[in-house]
Amino acid sequence: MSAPTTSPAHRPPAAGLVGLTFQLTAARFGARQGESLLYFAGVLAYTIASGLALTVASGTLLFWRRSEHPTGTLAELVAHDSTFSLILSLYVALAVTACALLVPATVNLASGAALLGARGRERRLASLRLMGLTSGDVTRMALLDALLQFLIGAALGGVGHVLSLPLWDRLTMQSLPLTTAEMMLPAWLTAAVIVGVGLVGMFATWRGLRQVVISPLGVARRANKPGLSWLRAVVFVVLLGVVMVIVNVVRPGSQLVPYLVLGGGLVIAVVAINLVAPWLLQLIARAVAHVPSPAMMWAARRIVADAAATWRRVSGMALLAFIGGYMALMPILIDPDDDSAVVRGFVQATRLDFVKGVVITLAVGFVLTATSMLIGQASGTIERSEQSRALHRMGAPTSFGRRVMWLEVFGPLVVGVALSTALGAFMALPMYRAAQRFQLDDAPGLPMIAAVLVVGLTLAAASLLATRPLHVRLLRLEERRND
Amino acid sequence: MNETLLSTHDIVKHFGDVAALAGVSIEIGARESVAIMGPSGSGKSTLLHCLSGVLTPDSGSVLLEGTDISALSDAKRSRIRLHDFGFVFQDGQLLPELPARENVALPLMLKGSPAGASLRAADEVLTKLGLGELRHRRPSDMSGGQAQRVAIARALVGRPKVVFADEPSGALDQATGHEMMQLLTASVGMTGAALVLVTHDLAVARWCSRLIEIRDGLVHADNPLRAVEGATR
Repeated sequence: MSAPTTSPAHRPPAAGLVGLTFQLTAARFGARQGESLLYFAGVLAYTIASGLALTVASGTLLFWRRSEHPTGTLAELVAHDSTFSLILSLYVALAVTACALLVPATVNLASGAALLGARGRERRLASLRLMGLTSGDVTRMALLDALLQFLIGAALGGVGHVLSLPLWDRLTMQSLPLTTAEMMLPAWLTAAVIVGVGLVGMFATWRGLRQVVISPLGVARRANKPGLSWLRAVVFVVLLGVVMVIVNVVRPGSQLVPYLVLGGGLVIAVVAINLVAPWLLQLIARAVAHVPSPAMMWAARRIVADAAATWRRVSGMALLAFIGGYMALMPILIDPDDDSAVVRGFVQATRLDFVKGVVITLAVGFVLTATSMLIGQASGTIERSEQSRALHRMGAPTSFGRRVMWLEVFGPLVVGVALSTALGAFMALPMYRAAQRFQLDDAPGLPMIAAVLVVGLTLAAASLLATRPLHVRLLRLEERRND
Repeated sequence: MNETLLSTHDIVKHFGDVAALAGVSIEIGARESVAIMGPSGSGKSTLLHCLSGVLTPDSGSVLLEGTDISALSDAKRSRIRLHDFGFVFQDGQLLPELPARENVALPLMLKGSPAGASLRAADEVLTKLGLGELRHRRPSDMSGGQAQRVAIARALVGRPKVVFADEPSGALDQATGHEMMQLLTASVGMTGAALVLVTHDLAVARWCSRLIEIRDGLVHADNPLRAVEGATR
């Protein structure tokens, strides 16, 4: 008898695949093998990513609405001096910049959600391949599975976002409270944000499946990833040069354009860091691999094996450190020549707006990053469970795997955070010096950097500690093999 | 049989309501090679895990040179596995990020040996087993047979008293499995360790000097085997 093949004529109809996917999902919950926990963790990640993406979009829309159609105090202000419309545009530009800075953390979280527990899903897909489904069929089923998780998460995130809107009413920006009406997103924008987060998740699932070969005989990882090229360092230096030219040429003042150019410089710097950091991590890890400690050796080799993935894990936190470093020295002060009551009142009421914006951005980033790290660690612990059990059988102390995990995550985190903080501060230094010449000393200062680092590292430690029970449970799992 | 090295005494092990082992008593001598066979679900892997201290029996005892290892804490059993036992798993279970020499050196480093000495010992074992050219390759750059040979080197580098092999040729084709078993029995014989392997393949079991058959969690038969041609035992 010949091996079963699936010709186009015998391919299951799309409706059949959808039904089968739903049946398998229901079976996962029925099996009670902990997979439902992973499923809910994926849903939670999508909930947080969607909810926060909607909230950030709401804030940006609010500033855009106020800029385009100023009312009340803002209308009076613009009527008094039309150049103040530029200040309102600056808020929009900064809100968009904050969105851009939060994109990597959101992408990481959505990717983590998509890849969470992928190994278990892959095994099931291998069984389906054995039963005659094509590679395309199993990819479509995996995407459907991820889509279902995303839709549940997006719905919950949307509800959470709407419920949180009245809370923003307590916060004032531009001298006015952030009202629910102003924060409410139109349906088209809500759909666009949700579709955006969903596309990131679907792309991550598709990319994750491309990294494995699902054959009827099982799942195999694709070959080693090639080392990262030193050209990344060259491009980094070039981009950094561009940024340094920008920050040295552009002088901050009451005009909008310099701030927009500086914002562009900030984005270029973020791109440059994301290019060079994985290569740098790989370089350092290669050297550390020769340190005479088995935990250090394995942790370093794990980083070398996929430095880009290691960087993705810590980049959210590093980005926050970069913002902290930059904002700590960056002077932002609106100092109008106009001495009228309406202008003075506005300036007085908005003195803390910039700090509030930074704090909100950091808080959103922290939540995204902490969830992402927790999910990444949980996923990694599950993926490596067989390896961990093999080491345990060989007699490796239980603490060995944990030491490796801490070194693998904390080592790059410390390097990434230190590098990013230094670079952020370095970028803001020329403006800080210029501001000092004008005797403007309104920079939030070093305490902000310290707060970012302490909160960030504490969150990372909490994420790692939270996965410890899972690690111990998987090691002690006494499952009976088919012996 | 040589002097008893490892023995079980009426061990019972349940998984839920199922009795994987229902009272097994066996003795394994130093330098002996024992194959444990049985149909699926008979309890052969559970017996191997109890013998190696990975699992503890619900009742009964497992003695290594007179010490009841089943009564020891998890940490103490781990130390025994690290110092006195070597393991060859079905799919090698080499650490994918480490090159062969570091995979082989790892058990020595975990015991506290200096890194340099551990790596030199790993190189020596790999060369002895004819695997010198694989030293700097990672598992993903090796064939299944090559990876399993490196796993044998890892099991032997610490000069264990017993090597446990769980379906060591299960993931290999027949010819590669044959070569791997030849290497395993010959190299274990050279180190003077005992070999306990679990298999469902009689051709693999024939590389050992003794065959224990397990059925329904009990020893069904325990007989000497005439080693196949080419085996050193």
